[in-house]
Amino acid sequence: MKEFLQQWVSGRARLPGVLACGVRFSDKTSFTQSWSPDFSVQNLDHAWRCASDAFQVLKINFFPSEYVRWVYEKAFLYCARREDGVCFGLFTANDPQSYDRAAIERLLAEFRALGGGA
Amino acid sequence: MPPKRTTVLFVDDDAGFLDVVQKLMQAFSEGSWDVLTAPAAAHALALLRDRKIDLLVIDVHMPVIDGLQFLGLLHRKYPNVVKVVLTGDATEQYRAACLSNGAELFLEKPVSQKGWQDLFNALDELLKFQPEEGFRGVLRRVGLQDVLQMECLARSSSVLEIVTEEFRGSVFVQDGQIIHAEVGEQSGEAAFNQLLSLSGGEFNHKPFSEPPARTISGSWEFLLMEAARKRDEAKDPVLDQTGADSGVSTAAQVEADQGDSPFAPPPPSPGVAAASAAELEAVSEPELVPALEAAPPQRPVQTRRPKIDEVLICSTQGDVLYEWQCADANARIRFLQFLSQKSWQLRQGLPIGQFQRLEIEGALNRVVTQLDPDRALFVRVSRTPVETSS
Repeated sequence: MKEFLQQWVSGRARLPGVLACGVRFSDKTSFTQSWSPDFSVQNLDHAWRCASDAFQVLKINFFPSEYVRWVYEKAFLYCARREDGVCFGLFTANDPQSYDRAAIERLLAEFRALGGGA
Repeated sequence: MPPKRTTVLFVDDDAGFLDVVQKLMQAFSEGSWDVLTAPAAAHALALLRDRKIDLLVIDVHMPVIDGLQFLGLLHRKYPNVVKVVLTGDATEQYRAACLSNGAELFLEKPVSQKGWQDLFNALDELLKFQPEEGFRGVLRRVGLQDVLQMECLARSSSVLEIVTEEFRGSVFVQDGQIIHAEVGEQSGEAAFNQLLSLSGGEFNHKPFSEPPARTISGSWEFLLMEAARKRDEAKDPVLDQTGADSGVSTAAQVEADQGDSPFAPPPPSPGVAAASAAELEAVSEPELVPALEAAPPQRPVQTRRPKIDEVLICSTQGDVLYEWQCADANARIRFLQFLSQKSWQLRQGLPIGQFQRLEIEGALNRVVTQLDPDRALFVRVSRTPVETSS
């Protein structure tokens, strides 16, 4: 499954405006791709861990969790989590003109549906 | 100048573990850590009271006291101390509960030499994060608003005298109700709002004396919220120009300014803060909110109308400033504190700037939380399917 998801990320996630993306698996390993020199793999892996922690806390608070958007001053982080605990995240600039939100939402839904995901 | 020493406290009921961890952590840190140990919660509390602790590592499976409760208590009492949970076994749910109760990291007890080194590296890395002012209570300056809240909550009677270079004013509190305010020629709510809007000055807490008049009769919660709103509006004239009527609606403004979607008028809502929440919904979900001035109907279509279910606004100290239909304010505040902590950790090393808000999306509902420097907002919205015409 890990290999399949890595291939999916490599093949599908490079949408216009996406600066970096990655998945964090339930065994706490990550697969990261960055297209911006400012987003190092090490810092992104740390970000995926934080985003994954947040999903767990959302769950115990009974919040919806189709996907979340972290809004920072200069970037958006879109994240989704599958039922098997695998998380997917991607960064775009905080500039709605620079990317296609609908395409990203479709990608997140696709990720959740892959291989029996929620 | 000697290098800064770090004090780390390990709390665990396993004396053997404490002995090993103390020796190894001191060795790995090459003497730069003071490693303290406590075999029980009471001992840990005594050390926290007497010493400045930078990092607290606790085993949440301890006898006598429930680990989660202990963690929550520590987080309320010592919000500035970085807390890590270390345990041998835990479910995902327990892990989430610990994170929600103030733990910044949740680690498993090492079982190998490499594991011990990894534990040290993780803790050392965590210590490199500099605490910043924020919702977790690092900045806990007690201001006039805080004192007023405390007086009202405690149903006290007192007079708060406020003095600046230009003004001298007073707020009279009797049995937990704000009954009068005066500054210069002004009195009543106008004076109260002016005093609460001051960014500097001093205040004195005096015994209650009968005011010259009773000019305020509204609830103190509403008065404080209104004062905060007016203060925000005064800071940000853009909000006034656009007709946004609450200081908590900045998220909607940001989105609208960026052109993410056309700004749609909010639906009727139960209050000022709720209206702001509706704006948040309307702005980010244009496809779900039909424009009110839409063309005459051609055929019925199903859309989802946002309905505010819950609103909470609280201060950075975790005091509730406003709530509407919030069944468990403490849980929401804990979540906001967690979010403040996690959003800050998440941005470490990334060029993404300050955190602004989190939007949590579901098919039928949505949660928006926004963290501002002086308050946090939580809004839960459901989307009710409605048949409308396009």
